[in-house]
Amino acid sequence: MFWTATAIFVIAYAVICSEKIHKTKVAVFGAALTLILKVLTQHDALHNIDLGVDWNVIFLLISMMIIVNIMTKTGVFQYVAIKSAKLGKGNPFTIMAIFAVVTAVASAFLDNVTTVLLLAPVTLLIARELEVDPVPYLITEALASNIGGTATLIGDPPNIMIASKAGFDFMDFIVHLAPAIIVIMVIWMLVWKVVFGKRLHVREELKARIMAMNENELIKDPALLKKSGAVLGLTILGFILHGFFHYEPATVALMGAATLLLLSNEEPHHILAEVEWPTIFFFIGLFIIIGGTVKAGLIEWLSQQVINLTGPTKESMFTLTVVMVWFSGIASAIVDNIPFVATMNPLLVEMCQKVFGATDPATLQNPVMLPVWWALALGACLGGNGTAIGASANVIVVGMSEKAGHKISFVRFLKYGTPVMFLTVFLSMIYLWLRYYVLKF
Amino acid sequence: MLVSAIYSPEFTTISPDETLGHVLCLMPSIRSKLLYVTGPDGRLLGVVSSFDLLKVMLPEFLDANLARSVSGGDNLLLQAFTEHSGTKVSEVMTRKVVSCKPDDTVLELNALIRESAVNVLPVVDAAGKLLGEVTRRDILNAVAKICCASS
Repeated sequence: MFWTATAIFVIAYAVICSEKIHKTKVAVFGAALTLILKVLTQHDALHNIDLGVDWNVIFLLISMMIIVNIMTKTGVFQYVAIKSAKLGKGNPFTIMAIFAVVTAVASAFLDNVTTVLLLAPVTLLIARELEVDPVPYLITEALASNIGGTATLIGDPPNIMIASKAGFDFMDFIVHLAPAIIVIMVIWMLVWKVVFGKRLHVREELKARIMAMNENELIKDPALLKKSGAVLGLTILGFILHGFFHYEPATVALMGAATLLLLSNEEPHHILAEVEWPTIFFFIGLFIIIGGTVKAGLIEWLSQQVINLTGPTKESMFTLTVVMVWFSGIASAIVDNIPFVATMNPLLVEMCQKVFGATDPATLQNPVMLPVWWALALGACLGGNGTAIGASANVIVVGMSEKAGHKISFVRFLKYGTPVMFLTVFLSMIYLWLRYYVLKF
Repeated sequence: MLVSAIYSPEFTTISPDETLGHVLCLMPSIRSKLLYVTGPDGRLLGVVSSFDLLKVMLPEFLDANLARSVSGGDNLLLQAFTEHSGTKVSEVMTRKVVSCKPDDTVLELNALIRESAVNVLPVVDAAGKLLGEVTRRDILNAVAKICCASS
């Protein structure tokens, strides 16, 4: 059983990395093999949250996709983008910085792919009006979406998975990760100012073109905007309070999605067809493959290797924290961070069992374990910036740019992404060290 | 009724090495719906439709909503013209052309037009030589001729 589970896991990951077959097909086929070869029973796969599908993650993802799909129909995102370009008075670097901040904030609450999908057309338009190369703008937005998404529980799928596994609530992420992300954004933008501030210049008459744009035309459904704005606001409020009322985040998101479906006049089959089912089934497949390796003992064996290597104790896991943030960062730049975190999560739970002898939420979240989880979240989310294939937002931006006639080569993305990845992971390490091992708050 | 009875034998051809700038400026004066790209032997290599040209000249990333925020927009067109006027026709033409033969029936033609989601089909002979073009409107006119004459 051990070798069957290991073989499915290793082959599935190798094929996913090779990108020869669509990752969803690989994950679903691997999951089917896991069941048919009796590594896991169907009951384990579908009803045991420790071994099978984490429905909290699945329903949180589906519900947020529904809310965002309805909201995009109002035109509000395009409105905000044009408004912020005008706020930058047509100045090319100011626009780049404002777009980065807008992307980061939006990505903290919406998924990264949606954010860049909404912003990229506006960016292409503005770059064309200013007669500048759109590529630095588009890459900056992809990087900002991955950085911003790290700040909250719902910002990036790795965080959703970590939260569900370790039992963190929305406010835990705000308290522990958001400050790190604010510091990282500020320092990154200062570096960007040095890199791009002098290089980007446009004639005054081109700036006037931006100022002549009319953003007020863009809100196409004010009634739907009011409804969806209210629902999104209440849903975020629900996230802030979910720990207090003992609701899972998926319950809050489902309530929001259901309410908005009811209030909007959209046809459910249109809205539901726009849910990214390939992503959802990728998660489902992965959860089952990983569940097989947990049950067969592979993850336990791996966790023992991690313990031997980094020597975590009940008092301190400093070495593990540092190794975790760098290992996660570099691994996530090369492989998809979703399967990476799906594997690391049960590994950390096994390790917690070995070190503390328990895996209840209080033990998983104890002050010694805490920085290790945050190192995983920071590394996995920020590492995605390293290469053009490190995160879905990067892939989307490269695709849209090419379609608009501006091809972004793998190496060109690397020139922007890799330095930013190293900078942000380094800053994360300093943050973790200062906050949890020096200042200890 | 057969295609041979309804197609229009009028068409304009162009070499695949012509530039986009030339083709764009030629478009308003041609009388056929499509511009036909032919080789030296008169064989059809591809077609250039309004869609093919608009795709290059107008930013595809603009949706109807975002387009409303642009004031004027002529500068975007001129920019695209400068950028693409030297592009060769062979790079923008549609190569996979669905065509019909003069002895195809109108029923067959209508189904072919519907299935390939176009408005116009070139008519070629057995050797692949271009004879003319036939549109949805030609079909409709034929239908009207048959039905309305008998009533």
